[in-house]
Amino acid sequence: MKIIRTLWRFIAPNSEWLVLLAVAGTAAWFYADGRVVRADRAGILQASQLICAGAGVEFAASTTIETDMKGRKVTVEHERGAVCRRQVANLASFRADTVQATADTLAGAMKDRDTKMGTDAARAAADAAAARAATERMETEDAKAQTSNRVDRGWYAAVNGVAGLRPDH
Amino acid sequence: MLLSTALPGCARTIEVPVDKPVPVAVSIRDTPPADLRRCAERPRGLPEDDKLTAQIPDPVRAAIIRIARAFASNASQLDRLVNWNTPGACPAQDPSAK
Repeated sequence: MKIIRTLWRFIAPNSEWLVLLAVAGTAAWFYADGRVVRADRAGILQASQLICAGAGVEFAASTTIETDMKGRKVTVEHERGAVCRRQVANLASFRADTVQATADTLAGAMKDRDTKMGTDAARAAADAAAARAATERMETEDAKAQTSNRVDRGWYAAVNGVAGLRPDH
Repeated sequence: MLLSTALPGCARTIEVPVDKPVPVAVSIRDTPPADLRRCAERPRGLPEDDKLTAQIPDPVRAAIIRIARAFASNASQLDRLVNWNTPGACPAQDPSAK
């Protein structure tokens, strides 16, 4: 305690220096903090410009000339980043829509193909069964003609059946 | 740390994982020309008449049967192919129409 009292007795007459020191310290802190904030801001601004350039539009404020509903030309002012924000949102939704549409298309194509495969397999099976039956009949009819080489109505009909043709009456 | 924020060029580059590009699929109509989409032609076959008997030697009968079988096979294949491109264009022939 004695030491502190001795120290205070030494400091008390010069306390305005202390105030000055405190003010200087605070100012230095503000200065350093301001530098960090400015650097931060510059970094964010640069990142914004890069992002917008990547999306193909300017980050800076701009004006465009549009046609309103009555067909008149009007100048529309876009604040900084507005065009870019819209563009990025459009790109994101475009991508999502494209992915969705692609998935739908591929699924649809696969389903169509499955349907076609099923229909065609059924048709092929029916044709093969008909051909088998016609061949059996043809063999029977042709065996009858083996000895005499004479063919008649039954043989003609069997040939028509093998060829899948209607008779010529 | 202060330097890297003050000078953006000194900031470390962070690799953000990016999705692989998704292939965009669109359905295209690749329909063959109309003359390639005609169903198999099936003319009338042999007349089925009791009066029309004939004497046909073995090799000729065999050839007629061969040709008839190939005709049916080709016609069936063509119809299936046309149906693949234009579903339902060539319905199966009526077996009772023999």
